[in-house]
Amino acid sequence: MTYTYPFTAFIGQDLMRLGLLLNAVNPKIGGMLIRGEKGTGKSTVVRALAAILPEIDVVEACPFQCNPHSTDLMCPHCRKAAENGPLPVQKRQRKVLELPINATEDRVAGAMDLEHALSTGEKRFEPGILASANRGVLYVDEVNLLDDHIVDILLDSAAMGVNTVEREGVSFTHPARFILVGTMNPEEGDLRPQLLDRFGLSVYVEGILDLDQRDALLRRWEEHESNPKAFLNKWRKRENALKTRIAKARRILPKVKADDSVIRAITEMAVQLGVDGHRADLVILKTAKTHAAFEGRRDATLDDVEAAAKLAVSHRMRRQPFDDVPDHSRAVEKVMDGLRTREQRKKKLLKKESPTESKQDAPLENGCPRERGLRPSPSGSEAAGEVFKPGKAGDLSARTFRMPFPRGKEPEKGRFQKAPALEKRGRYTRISRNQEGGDLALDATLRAAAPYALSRPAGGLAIPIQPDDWRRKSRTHKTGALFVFVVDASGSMGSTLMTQTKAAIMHLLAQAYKDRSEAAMIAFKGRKAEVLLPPTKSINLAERKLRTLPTGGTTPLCAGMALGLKIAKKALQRKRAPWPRIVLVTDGRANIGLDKTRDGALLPLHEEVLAMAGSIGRENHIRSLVLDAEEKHPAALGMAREIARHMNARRVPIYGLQPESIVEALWE
Amino acid sequence: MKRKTVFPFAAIVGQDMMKLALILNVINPTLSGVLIRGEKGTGKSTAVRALADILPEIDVISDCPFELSPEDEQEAYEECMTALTGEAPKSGDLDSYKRKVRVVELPVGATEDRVVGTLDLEHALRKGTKRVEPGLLAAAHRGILYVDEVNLLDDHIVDVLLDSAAMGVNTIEREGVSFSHPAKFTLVGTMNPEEGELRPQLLDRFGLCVHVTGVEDMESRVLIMKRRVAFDENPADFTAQFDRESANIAQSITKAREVYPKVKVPESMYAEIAKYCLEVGVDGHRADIIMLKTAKTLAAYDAREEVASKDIETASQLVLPHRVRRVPLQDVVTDISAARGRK
Repeated sequence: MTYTYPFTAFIGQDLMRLGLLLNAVNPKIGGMLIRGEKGTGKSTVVRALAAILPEIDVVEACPFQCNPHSTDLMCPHCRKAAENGPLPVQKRQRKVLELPINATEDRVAGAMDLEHALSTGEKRFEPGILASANRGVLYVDEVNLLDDHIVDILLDSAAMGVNTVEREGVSFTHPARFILVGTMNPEEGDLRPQLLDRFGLSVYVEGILDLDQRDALLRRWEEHESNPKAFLNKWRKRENALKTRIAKARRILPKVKADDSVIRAITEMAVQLGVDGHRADLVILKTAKTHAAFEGRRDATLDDVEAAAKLAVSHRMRRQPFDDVPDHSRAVEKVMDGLRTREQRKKKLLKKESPTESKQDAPLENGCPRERGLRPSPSGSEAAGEVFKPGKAGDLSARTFRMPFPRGKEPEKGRFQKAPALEKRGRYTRISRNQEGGDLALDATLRAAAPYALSRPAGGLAIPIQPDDWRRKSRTHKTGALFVFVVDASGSMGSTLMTQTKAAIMHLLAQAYKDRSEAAMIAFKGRKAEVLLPPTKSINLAERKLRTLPTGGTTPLCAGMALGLKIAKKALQRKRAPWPRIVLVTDGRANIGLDKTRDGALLPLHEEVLAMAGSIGRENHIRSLVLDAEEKHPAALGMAREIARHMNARRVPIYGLQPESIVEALWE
Repeated sequence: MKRKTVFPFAAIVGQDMMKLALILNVINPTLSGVLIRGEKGTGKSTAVRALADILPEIDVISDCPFELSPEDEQEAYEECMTALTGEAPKSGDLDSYKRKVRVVELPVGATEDRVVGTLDLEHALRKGTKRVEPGLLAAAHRGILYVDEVNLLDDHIVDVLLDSAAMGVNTIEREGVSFSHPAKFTLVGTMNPEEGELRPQLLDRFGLCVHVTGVEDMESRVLIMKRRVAFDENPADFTAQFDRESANIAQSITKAREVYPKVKVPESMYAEIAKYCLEVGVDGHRADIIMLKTAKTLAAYDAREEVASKDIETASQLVLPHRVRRVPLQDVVTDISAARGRK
């Protein structure tokens, strides 16, 4: 028996706890996202929430925890049963369900019941995690690392309140209303903006820096660890009191009113803080009312608005890039100060003019349904079968290679890319009906064959499987890009370019754990090109290998490009980096060639260079960038421009570029 | 088959911090693992295997793929076996047997289904019912899970490992299977930082971290060679020489496990730990908590029932280096006292 740490015994992190409590009172707020440093008790506090959630009435033995008092929110079974009289009711603790990081689609949304299909030949729905989470809390740890596909399924259900499964010949819809709580460490990459907006509330947690509080935290923790049972008993009273308070707040909530001034304050807040969209206004209103109920009041006040805004705007404010955490609490307080002074002044005026106060009901009583238009297209699973028609083995990979992300569109923050994995590696998330490529998805194959088990000749097996039933695993795994820097180290400009490139590489690798990119560096000088840094993610290795940057001599540009191409191709073959890119740093003036001949005559140097550029340009799977080192000069030859054109590459002048800007350019 | 003789733990020269970190984790698995950073060929895996070899044997329920204990885990046994076979196991006394603590090695190429467990193919085809095929996490329960080159492992597998290590439970929700079973193991990961860094979130999840380098002292190097040669020539004789020392270590570990629940923390120590962590600058509070646990475990290993200042000092060497907040381009800190002095 494990004893979870009691919710009431937490020290600090008040805003985070308030947000969770308000969600417990009013699930319509739309969940909460907790962002913050590692080791700040994010997960512990969510797990502790289970103990203080009020009990609910459920239909006995219903796997969806249907509400016996409302036919709208019932699963098909219960709705049918309800027609024949009242359903058996059972009291049940609301659950906090954790979505394990390794969950596959069939278990999240539910799938066909294999055993039932085998014994009866009938297709029946087997409920998944979303079913168990109905009317409870669904907790996703490291939500930013969750597979996009699974995230879509979650969002879909969270937005609609129902989970619809249309796959493997099963068609089923059941209620799935749950409080979605996600935790994440932004160090590991951010969340997609549309996902961010879907969380009603969001807080940013940091470690406590006050020595006394830290000391107290440690003591309390030690007390819990040495005797969890006694600790729990000690806190039981408070836990129960909080539970009662939540239950009471739930009863008051429908009666809470928000008058005009409150609503005006909310809209003003949203405008002044520069919040995106209208969802924020609605969420603040709902949260403010819930806060009033939690405080035992029936009128929402400006104080409630302040508390609500602190929870609801942080992830919706338009942010400057790189501005990780705007101090939005302070911003909220500032706006509130302004509103309060005005309110007081108005009250004084009102008192003078008319003693009767006009009280208006809130126009938005119950929170309006979410926009359906924003919903991502349902059931991506079937789409997989559509897009990748059974065909040649190469189909899948070719698609990915050509379009890592659409040109001209910036990749999402976080920058590592999730590719359908090329090997049998990566996370198995969904099923494809491709006949080739990928390994067998046993569960799906069995489910496909099961309904026919009774009608097909068995041959000694319980499930006769035919090639038609084969389903493959479609895996995704995170890979980064490989950047092969090919740098001019010749006497004329070598040292500046080399230093600049090194700085850019170091900058790139400093974040490599986040976007999993690798870098390699080739320098060309004298008569040949040389690999200074083999492809690596390690910043230590780069630092050591690039400690000295040899420069001087002539410019064998062609040799450099050839070696760069070789490394990029090798990485491609070894499937180590699906998206190798060549970054050529040069002014384009070669003076040593590879001595290639055509029809017996030595090829002119510039033709040789352009031919090499052309062969890089023809590589479909390799993209390239030219960092032009030619100074602006009336007599500039524009050779680098010409090379870039042949390489089918973008060209960026390198002079004056900071390492950050170079790295930015790489990703464009 | 004759059991392969393992190089004795006591015969390993040097690498004291690594040995200490391993022992502490074995005493108290809730320290959530050791990360060993350093070069190849510094005796990392030898030490892990050797330690497992000298540990007291454990009781295991017979015919149970989850390595459960007959004393403490009857309830879990019933649940797991019911889920596995579809019917409750016979009640009454369970058959059990004694065996050595196991070291389960996780190969870099391991797939997720092998790690967490998956649908039993043969059973499904023959019987047409779903059954779990337990994975490596089940095999590692109550043992040591050794992950060589943890930084090269697929991210999602590391996520799963650390999740189970922290919770002590492995939850499977995949491939039509929904199941959970106890998975309490000592996680030992090794990595060579030259081959890429671990994600910060994962770094933080490892309780302790040690840096190993090759022994640089001439005499010790000679001793290492001599011992290795002697062991290779005649393992039985060589091991016998260290029997007594090994038995001593094993005994202190057993003793420490008994003492641990009784260890008291003097009032002033809490503030001292908190201050230490604030001074070196760490994210969050995990460092404080692990440091307290480590200090308590150290005291227990020293057969004391009260944490002393020196325990905190030693604990800081093991707990803080990989948690100190870094500026970009900066290496993981190796010398924690220096880091403290600098701030």
